[in-house]
Amino acid sequence: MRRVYRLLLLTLVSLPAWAGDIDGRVLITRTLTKKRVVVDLYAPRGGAPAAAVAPQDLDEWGRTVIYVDADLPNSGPPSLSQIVQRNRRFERELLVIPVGSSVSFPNGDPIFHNVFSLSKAKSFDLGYYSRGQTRTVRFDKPGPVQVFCHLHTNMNAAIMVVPNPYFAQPAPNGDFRIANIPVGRRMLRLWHKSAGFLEQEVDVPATGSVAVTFYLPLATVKSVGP
Amino acid sequence: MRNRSLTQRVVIFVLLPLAALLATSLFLVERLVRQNTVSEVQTELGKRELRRQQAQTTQGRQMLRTLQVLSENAGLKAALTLQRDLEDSGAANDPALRSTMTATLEERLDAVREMIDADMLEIVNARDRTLVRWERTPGVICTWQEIPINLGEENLGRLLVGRELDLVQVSGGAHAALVRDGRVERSTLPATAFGGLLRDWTQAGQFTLGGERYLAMPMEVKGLGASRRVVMLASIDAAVAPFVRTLRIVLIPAGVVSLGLALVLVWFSSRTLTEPLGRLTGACQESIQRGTLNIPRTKPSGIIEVDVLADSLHRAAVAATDARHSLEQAYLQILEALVESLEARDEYTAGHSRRVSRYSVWIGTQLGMAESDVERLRVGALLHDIGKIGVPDAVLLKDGRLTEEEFAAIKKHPEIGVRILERIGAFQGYLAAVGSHHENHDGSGYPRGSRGEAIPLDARIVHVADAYDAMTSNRPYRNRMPEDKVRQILRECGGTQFDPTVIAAFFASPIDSTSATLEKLHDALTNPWLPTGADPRQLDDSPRSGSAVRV
Repeated sequence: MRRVYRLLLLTLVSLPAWAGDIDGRVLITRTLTKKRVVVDLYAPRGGAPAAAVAPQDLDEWGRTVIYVDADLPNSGPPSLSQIVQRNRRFERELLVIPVGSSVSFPNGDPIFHNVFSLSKAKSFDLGYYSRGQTRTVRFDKPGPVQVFCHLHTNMNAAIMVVPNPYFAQPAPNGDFRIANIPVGRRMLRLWHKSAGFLEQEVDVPATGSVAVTFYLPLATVKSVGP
Repeated sequence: MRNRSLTQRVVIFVLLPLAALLATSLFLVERLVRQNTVSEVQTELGKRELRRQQAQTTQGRQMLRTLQVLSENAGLKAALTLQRDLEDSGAANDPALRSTMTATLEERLDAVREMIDADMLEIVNARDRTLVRWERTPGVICTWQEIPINLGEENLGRLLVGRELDLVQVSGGAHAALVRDGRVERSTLPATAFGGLLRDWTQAGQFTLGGERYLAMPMEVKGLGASRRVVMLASIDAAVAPFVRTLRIVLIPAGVVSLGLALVLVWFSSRTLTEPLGRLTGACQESIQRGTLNIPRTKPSGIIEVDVLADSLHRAAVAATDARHSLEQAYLQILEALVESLEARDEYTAGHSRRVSRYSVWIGTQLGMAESDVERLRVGALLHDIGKIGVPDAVLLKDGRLTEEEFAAIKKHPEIGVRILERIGAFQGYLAAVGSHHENHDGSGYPRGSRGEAIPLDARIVHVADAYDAMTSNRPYRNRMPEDKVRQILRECGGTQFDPTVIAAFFASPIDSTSATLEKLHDALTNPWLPTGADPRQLDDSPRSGSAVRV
């Protein structure tokens, strides 16, 4: 009878239903990313040919991803995302995709663009192509992939290839939630495009949620526990 | 040269040359100042250009460093490589691709523009073809620098960076002109003023613009291209103006003042000459009018030459007058000698002419005649019987009664006298006394039978004096008459034979009443030692006898 209970318990644990959530919060303690600075060379002579960029806060949350670094089953069909190149920018600064997904890079500008990456996770060079054309790349290894354009050295996008579908990006208030993580002690990683990696070990409960707080940047994070 | 007054001459020969000299010197000084200023301006421009060239070199070097960094532009290099590849593969023939390529390059150029302050950017490929070009304002004229864009050992092309040409800055605040193919394209001076001015701008030199003189000096401004050139301009007139103004302010009034001063001095000095000369001329003209040479000694004028001239003229006049006098005297002496010789023929008439002359002078003086008229009267009276030279002795010296013929011969003597004297011009004045002294007041005389006022006054006076002397002298045909009788006869004949005015004058003096006076006078006049000027009648009166008035 005890064996039966044990088996039952084991079955319960191993069942997907036996999973918990992570309710997290990311606190930014200081400015992570310095805003692009433009020296106005023409101002002293009156008249600026380049339109002045209105100062605005960078979307730090859009540059952040939190994911569970564990070899967990990657359910679902491979997805196809896209990063459009428009106005000499990659329209998304950070794209998070699970391993095995593909990304298309359509050119939305009337000029040539070139997309290439030299990152460990995936290195590629899609060559030059003009408006309306696109190239697609499949990402098979997890890790951050920095994407550039040969022509426009300012252009940069990051593709975070995560090992499983348990990832999230913070909401505008810094909160995030990763649901249905199989129970167990998990390594929770945060990657910020400028600040890099932060990690915390989290005991994911069988049911309910666990609260996690990340302090950015890195220096202040290490001393902070859950 | 026409005759001009001394003052005119002085003005012409002194003032006009002086004025011309002043004007010339002003002109020359101005010219000199102008030349000096031109060379100064030229030197100044040269220095300025040298400084600018040094600054240009420094700036150029700095700019080159910036461009060197700029040329290491991966995006630009990538774009140029892409362009080259497209062109090589023939894909550039596709219009869509081509325009995309151009847009890509333009976008790269925009990126460069954000890194450097430029007014013109241009990308030229390795085949020297301009791929893209940007200008801050259309048609902006720039000085440019270029930098090669290399990829490894390969040259992809060049990047040209231009800065707008600022003429004011380039010339360092002076005037400057941008010249293209000899024509002024742009200038800090009003461009319209240049019009079609075409000259060799590669040489420094002068030219006139809108009546103003300019100095042009070519500048070595780099990066303008072969056809364009910057010329520094400096207005010579503007540079000279302050000097010229000062010069004119100083020299023109000084010239005018010195001219005025010279005019006054010249006027005064010429006056010191013309005034005494004028006096001399006046004296000469007066002499000409009067017919006598009389130039008085003038007061010293202070000018040696004029004084010497005045003195010489005076002496000459005196000498000439003396000479004339002595000549006249010589004539008179000759005539007197003739009279003497005439009277010597007849003892009865001895001293008659001299006495008649004396009486006539007396009467003339009493009548208030002028001194010169009295003198003429005196000589005329002295010569009144000169014609008797032509009367034969037989008639003249005959005792007893004369026949009709003899009397007619006697009557000719006034006309003979006139004939003797009329040949001598200076004796014309005596002709009246000589020719008419036998005319009677009532027209009964000879030779013409004139009457009253028609008979010259000299003759009327001499007639009375002659009669008086005749009656108070002994004659071959009668003795002298007593004074009372003479007076009575004369008074009776007044109005008929004689002019009553003359008779009245003869006896006007209170002394006239004393009957002895005239006789005394008569005697005294026969005496050559009688002092002249004394009243001839205030002499002793000796009784004489006579009858009719026969002279």
